[in-house]
Amino acid sequence: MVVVGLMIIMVLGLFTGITDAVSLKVFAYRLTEKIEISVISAFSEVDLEVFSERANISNEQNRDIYLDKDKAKETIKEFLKKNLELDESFRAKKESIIKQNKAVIIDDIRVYNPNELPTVAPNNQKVERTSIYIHLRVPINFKYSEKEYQDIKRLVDLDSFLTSYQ
Amino acid sequence: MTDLIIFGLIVLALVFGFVIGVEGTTPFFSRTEFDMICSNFLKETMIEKGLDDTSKQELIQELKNEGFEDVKVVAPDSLEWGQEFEFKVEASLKLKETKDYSGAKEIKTRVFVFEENAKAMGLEN
Repeated sequence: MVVVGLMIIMVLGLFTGITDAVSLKVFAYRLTEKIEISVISAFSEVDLEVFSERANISNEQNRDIYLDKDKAKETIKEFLKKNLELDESFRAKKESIIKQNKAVIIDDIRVYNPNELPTVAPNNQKVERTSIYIHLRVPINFKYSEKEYQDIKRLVDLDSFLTSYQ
Repeated sequence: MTDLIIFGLIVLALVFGFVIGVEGTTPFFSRTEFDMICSNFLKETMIEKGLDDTSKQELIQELKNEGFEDVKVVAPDSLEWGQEFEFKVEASLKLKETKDYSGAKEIKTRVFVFEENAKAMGLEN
């Protein structure tokens, strides 16, 4: 009977673990989606001076977009705070999908303009168009995961975003 | 006889565990479905610089097809390039959940909210 009891506990633990794993996957999906939308919004920070000189925005094949790097980074931070419901020190508010009281850590934001291409981003992805690379660490606490932070590394470019929409 | 009882208890544990697993994960799969549909229409709003009535009805219908009810959509129908906007979708979903160890079910209504701030990014006129 002890063995049966132990087996029952193991089975229940297994299915609870599966629920936890699915919960983590769904959280990661929602998080990544919010981060991507926040980064894409930074593509509005066009460097107008360079744009007037060089941009060929009407040509789909050679669409050169030069971003104002400082403004783009500020826009990303502003939208991350809004979309992830973070306060000024990047800690989650009550309404946030992040349920930990530690701050979200922005490890890296890199803006790649056309004059710096081609190159390779820190996540080893080739960069061939105007892109933004972001590396965040988001605090998590899932029962069956020892990780304290979920690492999010994404390379986002406007053209891929535009063509991904069906 | 003892072996039969043990076997029966193990099967019961497996079935109960399976029910917990399915009921425990169904809301998450529904959440993902909800997010994917809303995300697609958010992208449309960003790229087309607004979400017109036809697209709003399509969004509502797609969610209804997945079992969602009382769908409310807040999205601008016209935007300028680079203009910031809020996109919000709220819907409810009825789920059957096990009430107690007797296996009795009850219907619970869960409310799903998809809310994002973004900018219009479409490059075509």
